[in-house]
Amino acid sequence: MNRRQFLGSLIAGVGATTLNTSTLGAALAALPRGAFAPVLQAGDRDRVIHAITRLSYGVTPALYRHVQQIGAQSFIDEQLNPELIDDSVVNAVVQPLAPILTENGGILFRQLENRRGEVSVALVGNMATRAVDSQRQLFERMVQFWGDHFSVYAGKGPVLFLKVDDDRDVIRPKALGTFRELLGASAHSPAMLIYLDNAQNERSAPNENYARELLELHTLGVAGGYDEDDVKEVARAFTGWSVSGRGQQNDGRIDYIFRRLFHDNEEKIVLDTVIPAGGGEQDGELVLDVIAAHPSTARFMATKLARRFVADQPPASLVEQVAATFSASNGDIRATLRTLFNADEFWNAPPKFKQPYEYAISLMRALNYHVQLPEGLVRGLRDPLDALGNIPFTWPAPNGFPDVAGAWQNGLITRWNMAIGASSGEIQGATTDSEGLLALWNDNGVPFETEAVIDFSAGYLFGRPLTSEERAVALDFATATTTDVSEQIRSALALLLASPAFQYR
Amino acid sequence: MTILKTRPLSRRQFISGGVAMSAAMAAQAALPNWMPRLAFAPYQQAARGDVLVSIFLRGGADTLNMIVPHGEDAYYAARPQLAIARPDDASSTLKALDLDGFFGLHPALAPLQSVFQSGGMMAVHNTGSPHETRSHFEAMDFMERGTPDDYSLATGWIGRHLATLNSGNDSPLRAVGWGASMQASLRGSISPVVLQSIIDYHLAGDTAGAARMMESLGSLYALETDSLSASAQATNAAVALLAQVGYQNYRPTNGAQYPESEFGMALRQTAALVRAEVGLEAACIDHGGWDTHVNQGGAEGQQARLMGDLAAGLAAFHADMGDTMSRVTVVVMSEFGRRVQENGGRGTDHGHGGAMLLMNGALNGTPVTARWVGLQTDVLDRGEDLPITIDYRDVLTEVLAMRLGNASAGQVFPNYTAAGVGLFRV
Repeated sequence: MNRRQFLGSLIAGVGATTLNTSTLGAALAALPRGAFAPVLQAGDRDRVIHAITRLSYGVTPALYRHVQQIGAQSFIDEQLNPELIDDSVVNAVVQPLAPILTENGGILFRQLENRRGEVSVALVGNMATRAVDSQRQLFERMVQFWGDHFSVYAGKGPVLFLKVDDDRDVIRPKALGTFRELLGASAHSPAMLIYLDNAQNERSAPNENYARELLELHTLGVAGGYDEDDVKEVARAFTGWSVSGRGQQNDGRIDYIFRRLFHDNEEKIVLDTVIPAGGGEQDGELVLDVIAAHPSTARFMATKLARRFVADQPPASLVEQVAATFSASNGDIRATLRTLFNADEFWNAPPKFKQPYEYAISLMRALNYHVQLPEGLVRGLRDPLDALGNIPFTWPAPNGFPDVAGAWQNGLITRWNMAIGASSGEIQGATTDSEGLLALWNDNGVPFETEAVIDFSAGYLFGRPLTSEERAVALDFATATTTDVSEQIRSALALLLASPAFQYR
Repeated sequence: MTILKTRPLSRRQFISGGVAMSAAMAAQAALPNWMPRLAFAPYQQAARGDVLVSIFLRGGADTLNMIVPHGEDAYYAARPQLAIARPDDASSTLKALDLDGFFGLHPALAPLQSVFQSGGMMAVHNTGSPHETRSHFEAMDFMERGTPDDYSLATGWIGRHLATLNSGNDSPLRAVGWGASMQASLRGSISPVVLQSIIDYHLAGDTAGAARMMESLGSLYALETDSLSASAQATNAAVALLAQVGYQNYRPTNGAQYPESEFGMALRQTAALVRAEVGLEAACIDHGGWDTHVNQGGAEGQQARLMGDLAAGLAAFHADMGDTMSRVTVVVMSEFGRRVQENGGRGTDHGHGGAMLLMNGALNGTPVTARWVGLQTDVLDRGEDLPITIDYRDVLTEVLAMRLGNASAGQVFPNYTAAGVGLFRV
């Protein structure tokens, strides 16, 4: 086999030694436990890999080189200023999706109501392609974060179509702006107005759905200091915030409109703040001002950001620091992130379990895949991510995909199969550039030999050397049934990518 | 909002726009005979109670329109658009199906009417979790933990049930969560298997290669000390056992026709695991989409469609299980009921008390158990929601003690003294 094509064919045939699965339990029981920690201890990790895996969707050969050259701190600074990073390559790849992604969601709804698949492929294809190939990795991670924070469910009515506008006009332009701007944009977003029923929230019949989730999920948090009366008052304040109807004098566009006649113009009291009668559309803006500046919101957002970038249970000391910056900067997202990434708690963070989507993208990046056809990519990711419940925009509840390990640790079979597929060159819509991997090894003085590649890959994938036990398992798996070095390396990579350490970032 | 897994549109269909025949359905069409049972001796070391099938209606189901209080005038006054017509309403074709002269079933639950009439099902009304929250997430969290207003236990009530019930059962399939992620009620020291499809639950590649990779992965994951290690071990063991179930040959009995929804497929696979005697003790299934703030519908519409799927699945399961229902207990619950008064969007907002459904061969024969106090404003919770007169833990404590063989309800629901309800034949 040509070694340059070593990722090209199936992993099948790696095993002649058959182990009866009923003896597996005994084999596992005989292994030593607890004497070592294959998943690294906090603080022991290569800072380059730590910064890469926390800020991005995973290491690639090119990114590894780049951050090794400029250093982890400069990488963070670079990523906090995505407008200075050229992204023309990936922009060209997603260009074919533009006819859908630049259109108004109402018009898409009218034109493609019975071809929903095309719209979801465009939405997910854009997101996943950028996750794999964008140079603005932190920006893409923040788009994902805010998409979860202001989660809308594409399965509800026209929300799928309106998510196109929400992604383009709300989340992406404001992802690194201020929280108040983003919150306001979301409150006006037709996707959100329809998803959480505020479009039907009227003076004569208030609908509390948006008001409740605005307080509980978007700002203060469930224990943030509001009560049921506040929910009702906030609902009254947002009466009349609605969307233009289909086909009304406007070619089918769906946009935000304020329906004055449906607004409750009496006085409201929200969190002890009096909203005087007669405020009209400004009532809602005033509510957003009050809750965006509330200390509970700073704590809630600091907790969520720290959970995403640091740990499932973020340290209180970190949350305090980040919340302080959030408040002092009036919710400046860049400043808040800078505090987060400068904290010792960030650099000493324990392993963070990858969500299935993150895992899938990180496999592709590690093996130097690049997307050619976003549609093909989506069709390939669909089945495994469906089995794992992690297709973007399909979380039905408004709290977004859960961001703790416990929610995702049960789908190992599907993850392992994804690792096998990626190591076998079987990713639809994308091709692996194995030359890039080989060049990385070559430039780091790694010969094309199984042991050497395994050792180098541990540093590249996990940011730390293998333990002797891990190394023995990997080497045995790779070499037991073949002498072909390409086969061995492919098998070893499949195992390392399926291993526990690569389930974490 | 919509909570969890709205069916029948699957996430896969979200992208493909098409409807594919599942592998399980294709296999069913091809292969007639099914291995009767596996009878694993190690899993039968000690006497056990029923298999628990716990079904959670995500989103806060409007149970007032499911188990309809048609004898209550205030119900009709509160719901001019949404109320289900009285059984004797000559002007309606779709109306409540009377159960006991006061309560009736929503017409979309018709497939269950004969099950209720034969004593195989019961509704418990005016029940729920006493915590005052109207938040989906808090309410679900407390209900699944089994400790309202207390976060001190990280485990779920079913997880604690299995941990306290020493049945000598070491099956890797002791607990199964159907779906993409584990239900919070299953959290605990046992390692539930979470799966969607028995057929697809294996490693890719040729048999020998897959076995070798499983072995190596088993070794690597065994080096871990966190819950991922347990998950990997459970995965490996479950793969081996599920391969022996032969689900592709499973044929439901008694003409049972499961709906092709994800809910129906979960019930069908549960039935196969019960029959295969693989040591299943608890299965959790989610049914989503019940958060009907807008356009809920009455006798027909959004909620009626959800009820149709629920009823078709439960009726098929009941038929398929046949006499085995004497050792299977099905419990259906939701995080809260909805407000008594309908809203202006032909829907209902978050409420408090609701109803649970039970299915088992030893119910006491009463179709509806309730401590009904009416729907007048002065008796409603906060003046607007159905009050809770039977704590859901009272219901579950009786299920634990009378059906699941677990006398340690005090450890399952700590700091709670359950009151007797009398749901089962003694």
